[in-house]
Amino acid sequence: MGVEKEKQLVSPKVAMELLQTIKGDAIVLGSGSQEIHSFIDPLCMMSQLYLALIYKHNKKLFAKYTIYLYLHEIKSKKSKKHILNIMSAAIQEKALLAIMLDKKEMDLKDVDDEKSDKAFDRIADVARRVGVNKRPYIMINGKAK
Amino acid sequence: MSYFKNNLYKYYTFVIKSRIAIVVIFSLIFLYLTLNVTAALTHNDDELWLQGSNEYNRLLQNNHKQSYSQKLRLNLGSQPFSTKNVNALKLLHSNLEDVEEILRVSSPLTHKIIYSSDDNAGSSLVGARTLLEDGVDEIIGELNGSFKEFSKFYSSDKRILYVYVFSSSPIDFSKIYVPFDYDVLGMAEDKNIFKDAILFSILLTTLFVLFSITFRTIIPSILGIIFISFNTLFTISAYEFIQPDTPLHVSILLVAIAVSIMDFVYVYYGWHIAQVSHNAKNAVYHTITKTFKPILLTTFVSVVGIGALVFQNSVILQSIGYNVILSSLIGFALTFSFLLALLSFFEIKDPYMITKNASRLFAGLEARYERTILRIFLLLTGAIFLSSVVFTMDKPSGFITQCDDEVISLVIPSNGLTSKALKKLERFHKDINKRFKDDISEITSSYAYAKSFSMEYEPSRTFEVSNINLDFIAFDFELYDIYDDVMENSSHRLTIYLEDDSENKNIVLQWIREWDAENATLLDDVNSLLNAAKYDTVNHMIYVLLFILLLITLVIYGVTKNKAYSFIALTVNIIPLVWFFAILIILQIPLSIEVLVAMLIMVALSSDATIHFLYFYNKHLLPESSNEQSLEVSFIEVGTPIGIGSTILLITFLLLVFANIPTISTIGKYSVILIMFSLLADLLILPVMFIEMIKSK
Repeated sequence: MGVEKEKQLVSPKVAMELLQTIKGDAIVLGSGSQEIHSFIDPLCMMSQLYLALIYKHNKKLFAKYTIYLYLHEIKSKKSKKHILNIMSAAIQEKALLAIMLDKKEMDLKDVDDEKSDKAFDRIADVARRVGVNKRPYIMINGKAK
Repeated sequence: MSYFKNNLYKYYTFVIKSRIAIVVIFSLIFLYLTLNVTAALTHNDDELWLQGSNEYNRLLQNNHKQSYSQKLRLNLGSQPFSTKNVNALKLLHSNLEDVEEILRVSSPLTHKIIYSSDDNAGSSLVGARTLLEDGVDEIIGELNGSFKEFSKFYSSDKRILYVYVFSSSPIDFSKIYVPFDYDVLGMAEDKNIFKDAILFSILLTTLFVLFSITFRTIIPSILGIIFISFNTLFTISAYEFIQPDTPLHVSILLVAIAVSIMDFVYVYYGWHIAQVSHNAKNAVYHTITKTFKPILLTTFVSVVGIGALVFQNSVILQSIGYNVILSSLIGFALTFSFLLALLSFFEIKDPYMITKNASRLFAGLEARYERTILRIFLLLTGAIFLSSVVFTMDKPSGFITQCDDEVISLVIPSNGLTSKALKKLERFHKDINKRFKDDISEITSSYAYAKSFSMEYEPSRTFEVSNINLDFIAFDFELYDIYDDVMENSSHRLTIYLEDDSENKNIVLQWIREWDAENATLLDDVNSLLNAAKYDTVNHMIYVLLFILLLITLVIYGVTKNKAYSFIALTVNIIPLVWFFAILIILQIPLSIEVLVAMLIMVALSSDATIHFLYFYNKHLLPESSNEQSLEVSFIEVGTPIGIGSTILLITFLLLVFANIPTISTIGKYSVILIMFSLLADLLILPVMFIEMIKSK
């Protein structure tokens, strides 16, 4: 069965403005001229597949696009601890890959980092206002897939 | 002595006086060219067909390159989806990945399936996947469960798997490990000096043996081999000088040799039988007077008729034209200088005439022919001619090489992935599916993928191109590795897979070429380009054949001033062609360079025979002779060299059928059929029609 398109709660222009406020909290891949904004959950299999595909074609994609990855929890996945571990890591991309792609048993810390907590909340707030209701939730030019 | 004969006599005395100098000069030229010739023969006519073809030029003008599509036909046996077969297919893919020239491979493992996945817990994704990285059991399950999705890759009984390989240059699969019993469709031959050596060895040995058997002396064998070797080398060298950048196709050289070989046979035979009543030196003069004018006329017909091909906008036709012109002119020059000089050194005591008794028997039988049979035959030929014309006009594409690769790759120039471009592609999809509903198994294009993605994103919404989010589609094309399959820079690439039992690919191709009013659609796979080039050549070839027939008619009228003779010449030359066309149509043999070359060989031989025959009749027919006597003399004087020459070529071409050189074998096969038709027309129809004409007067 196909996926019904979820209603985007705000206009593309407003969505762009909201995304602008959390760009600094994103993990950024690539340096292309076009921006791709993606809300992902580290424990969501579809998000993992999405990330794997990005890295499979990273040469082409990273030249053409700048991909902003926003870590946003699916409640049922209970992934907040994973997200905070990635956000507080010295090299976020490395931690992201270890959790999402390598799927290694990691010793997750109980992160008590105000900066990461705030970033987590900011992303969740923007996601709620935009209407993010699936992962990966991909937006280009303020429009969701 | 007439002015003409007087000049011939002067020429004869000049040749006899200078014979040593003539032989030495030609031999030195031959030696020089042998040491310096660099021209290589090619067995691959693809490049020659492409150069100068309209479709190929348009592709180049639009800054695109041709691609090659080859179809691997893999034998799967009785268990098509067995673990062994799936593992072997995976290994094949792995081996193909290592070949730099391969651009993409289309198989069940690379076939992209657009899917939508949702775990109803917040995770969902619309994506494209292939089976390539799946496990063997998963692949088997998928193939069994969703066979329809992959059916275009399998024969109806599933025993054969088709894998399409698209590459920047032809792939030699003998150098790649293919873990199946397989064959490759769309393979081309290339340069091969070893094959050329085999070919010419067969040719020269056959001629040597046949000349010896026919004349019961070794002299014509030696002279024939020398004459053919000289003419071949001189023609190759002259062609290399005129067209240094165009390779010479081996079959084209065969035409040139066949055209000139008859000159040798007429001259040698004339000299041979002249020695029955003349001494050796007078025999040379006698030969010149008997053969100079008809050979001049046949050379004129070959040079002007077949040589007219040089004005065609096709490199392959130009190549044939140049070679026939060169070979005919060089052959003529060699015949009346070098060959005469050589002949003057020899003498035949008691010359053997192989057809002396046969000519009498043959003439007797033909003089008592049944008029009704002739009329029925001519009416039948006329009916076949009309049917062939109607068929060709109605279905010209049925004539071009029938391709069994069943894939067409084309490019539609555009300014990228835009709504306008996708709308144009949508129109193309609708139109071609409407016209060839049962013939197309699948079309891959940016439109097809964009539609599939959009329908998965929004299954409840009616699909419209204007609703496609192009940004997402472009991103998906990159993410799922689709972009290079359907886009080439800013142009859109379409790959059309035809059903096994689809209508002739050429009909589809021609429809594609005519579909776009802006004429912007570009075929880019070599097989399709070749088909288009050959399609465009059909009209040229028909015009050239008609021109040659008209020329023969005019030449005969010019010589005899007799309309009936011209009509006979025309009819006798048309008959073999008509019957050959009928065979092509009935057996659905497509037009190819091999067929074309065989037809030119036949026309050249047939026109030679007609001109010699009618020229002889007109000059030497005695009013007081009976039909039988006239025929007997004609058969001995002209019919015999026609028969000898044609039989020698017939046997030579028959041997070439078994030469294990595909192009040459095919030419050999068609030439044998055509030469037989031509020989029958010249020896049976021509004399009988001539008697009919005399009787009616």
